Amino acid sequence: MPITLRHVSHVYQPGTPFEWRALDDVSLEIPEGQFWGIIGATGSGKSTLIQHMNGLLKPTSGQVLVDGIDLASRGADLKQVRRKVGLVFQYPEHQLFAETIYEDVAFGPRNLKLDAAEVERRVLRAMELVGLDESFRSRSPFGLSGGQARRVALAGVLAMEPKVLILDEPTAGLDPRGREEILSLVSSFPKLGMTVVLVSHSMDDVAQLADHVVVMHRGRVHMQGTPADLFKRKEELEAIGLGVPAAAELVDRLRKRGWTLPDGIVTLDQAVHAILAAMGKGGAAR
Amino acid sequence: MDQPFVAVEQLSFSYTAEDAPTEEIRLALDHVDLVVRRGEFVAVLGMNGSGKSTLARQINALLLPREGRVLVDGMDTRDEANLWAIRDRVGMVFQNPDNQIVAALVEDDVAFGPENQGQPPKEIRRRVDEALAAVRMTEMRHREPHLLSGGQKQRVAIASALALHPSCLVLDEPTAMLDPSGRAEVVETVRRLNKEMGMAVIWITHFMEEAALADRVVVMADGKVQMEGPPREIFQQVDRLRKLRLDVPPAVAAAQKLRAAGVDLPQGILTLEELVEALCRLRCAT
Amino acid sequence: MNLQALTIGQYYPGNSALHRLDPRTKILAILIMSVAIFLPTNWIGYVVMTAVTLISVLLSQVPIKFILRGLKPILILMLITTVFNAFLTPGEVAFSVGPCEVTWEGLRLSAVATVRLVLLVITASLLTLTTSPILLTDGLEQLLRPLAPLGVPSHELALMMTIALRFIPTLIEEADRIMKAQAARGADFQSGNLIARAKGLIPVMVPLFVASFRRADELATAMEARGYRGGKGRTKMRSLTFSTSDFVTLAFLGVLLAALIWMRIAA
Repeated sequence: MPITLRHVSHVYQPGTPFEWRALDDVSLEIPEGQFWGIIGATGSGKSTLIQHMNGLLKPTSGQVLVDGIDLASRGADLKQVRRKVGLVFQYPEHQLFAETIYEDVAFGPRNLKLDAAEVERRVLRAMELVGLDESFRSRSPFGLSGGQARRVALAGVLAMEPKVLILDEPTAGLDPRGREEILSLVSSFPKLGMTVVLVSHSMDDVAQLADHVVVMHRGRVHMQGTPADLFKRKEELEAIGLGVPAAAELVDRLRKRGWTLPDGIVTLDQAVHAILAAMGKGGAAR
Repeated sequence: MDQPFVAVEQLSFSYTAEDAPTEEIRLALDHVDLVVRRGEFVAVLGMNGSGKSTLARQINALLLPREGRVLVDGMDTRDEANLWAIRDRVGMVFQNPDNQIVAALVEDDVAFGPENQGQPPKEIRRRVDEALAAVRMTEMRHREPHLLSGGQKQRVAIASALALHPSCLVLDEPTAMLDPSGRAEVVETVRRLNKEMGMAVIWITHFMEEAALADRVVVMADGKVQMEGPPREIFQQVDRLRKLRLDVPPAVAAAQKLRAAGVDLPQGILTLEELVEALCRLRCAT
Repeated sequence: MNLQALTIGQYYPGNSALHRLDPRTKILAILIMSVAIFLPTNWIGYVVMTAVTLISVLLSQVPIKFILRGLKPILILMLITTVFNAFLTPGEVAFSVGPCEVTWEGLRLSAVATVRLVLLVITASLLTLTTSPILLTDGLEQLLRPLAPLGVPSHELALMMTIALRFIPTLIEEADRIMKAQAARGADFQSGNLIARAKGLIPVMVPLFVASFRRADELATAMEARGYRGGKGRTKMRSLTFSTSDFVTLAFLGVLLAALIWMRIAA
């Protein structure tokens, strides 16, 4: 169930002194079942890009197709699109509004005009997925910890049972424990059959989780490829204000000192493994 | 003249009411001792709920001790007469960049503090110019706050605190809501203030890369001080930090894994560069 | 619905003679004009008032279309006033439209009412077009300050206005974000009758309110941390100062007002 963007451009406030070209001729094909990462400095167009994927924004020029249907065509039912493509904004807990957690998570399915039994099934399943047990049902969504509130918001989108889930910086503002919890949750989504698009500032997270990475710069797709391919190109990434995962940095510095290490190292475990191999698996005598 | 600037003595505090039954009282701070000297850069590291933010608010008398005491420049925070003098000496910067900017223009916000102090207009003007220069935001002085980036807003918040002419800056998770470039801006600004102006800094965070910049790291959990010492010492205790659900810098994590596999790395490695050095030395030795 | 396209106030940036006047002068000018507009007893008076207004418009260097924009909301009012005055005023009949009669008196009253309305609105627009909201706030605060001993909370009012100015763009952005987030969950803000649409705004209003309370709380803490202790003993970095043009303007308007009052009494 791919999302396809063909030569999509988006200009904010055209014809005014505030005109701003946020996307410039972007073409992407997101295939089913993959985990995609989108990285780029602030202002590179990431946020505008993802809002095109579920029809929240319309392109100034170009086409957006979801499941083969052009979003600009008459037949396109935007509500159905939003059912298929779920979008979780940054700090999603800021959208919580209902009296109970159950009611808030049920908001999405109810908007889809599903019957009460189906709504109940989806809400309970979504809550279970994010690790909120039955006791949370009738609690107020206000007064939860940051991490818990975020999981309620996530459940609210999961209850739509989307085929594609887009997450914009899902770990923003969380402490290390919260980050770990959300990331392990997100990494489980492909197994549930969802295609995942993760927008992130963390090279390490993207390196760990993504099958394919898109690098945005000034509204254009600057580079794309697998993490292994992409994070090799350290100088190019640094030139546009991005870094590389710590492991890639480590390998790069060792190579500059004459070490022979294989390509495509992006996680610390891979790096440690390669270093041990280069040292003959044991290093200096104890 | 080695009297510490801030002295926290056996400080205990709880958010639950004083007359609540004993079982319900949860101590947010539990007999905490801490000393901060003039010009020192102290990082307070801990998870959400560890008490670190509560501690920060005790230092400028936003919260008062239930047991024990807090002395700022020799003044007891519990004495109402000292309140404004203490707040003149301790400037505070909070986590949310938006919710600490009061005025509709950058320079008006920086002037807010001195205006409260009743300074004469010429003096306020001088301090505002000085403070904006110190954070390198002079060009933005007539800007409206909502047009600034997160990093710029936090720098304005720092300038607003500096305009009070404090001897100490307390920053409560100042980078938690910023992107990497904003975070770098704020870290660089505060380091410069500490090194060049001799400003004492108390930096509350859960990011270990930030804590690694301090002269001294204080690790908190469950309202108590768990560990205290220079960053190099603290970050070696990887297992203890992991138990407290805190992260370690990637170099430390990698070094630990390599040591576990038999590589004879010295203790005290904190940065990637140090790790690379040590590995190269080992390789040359064989 | 693009909330971001809204702008607060109608400030048109510029450096004209009107822009450079002290905001207090302009506020006082409006007060004087509002009274003066009701004073003329003959057509000469109205010509003078219209001339003064026109000269002000020219001095402001604001494009005509912005001035006219301010009149749009009152077009209907003008129409109703004209019609009612024309048809319902007793007097000598000028002409008839079917069974309804239009009198000369009625026409005269309509003209006067229309002229007054238009001049009033244009004068008020000139104030907001040539004075930035921040300066307006400063001006109001300084004007109200002498009334503080009488119980008028000038400092608190000014602070409230400043904070509102500061946060309105931020709140608009936040509302936009929340609307998008709810739309992503299938919320529909367009369809349905008035009641349905009002209910549909709850998922936007509630989070906005909750966020605003939290903001207020955090802001208050930040203000206290910077030594805020109310208006007593507080100084201001910027103060407004009158210049020669301000004195001249106020003097001129004072004379105008006096002349109109005298003409009224003499008549």
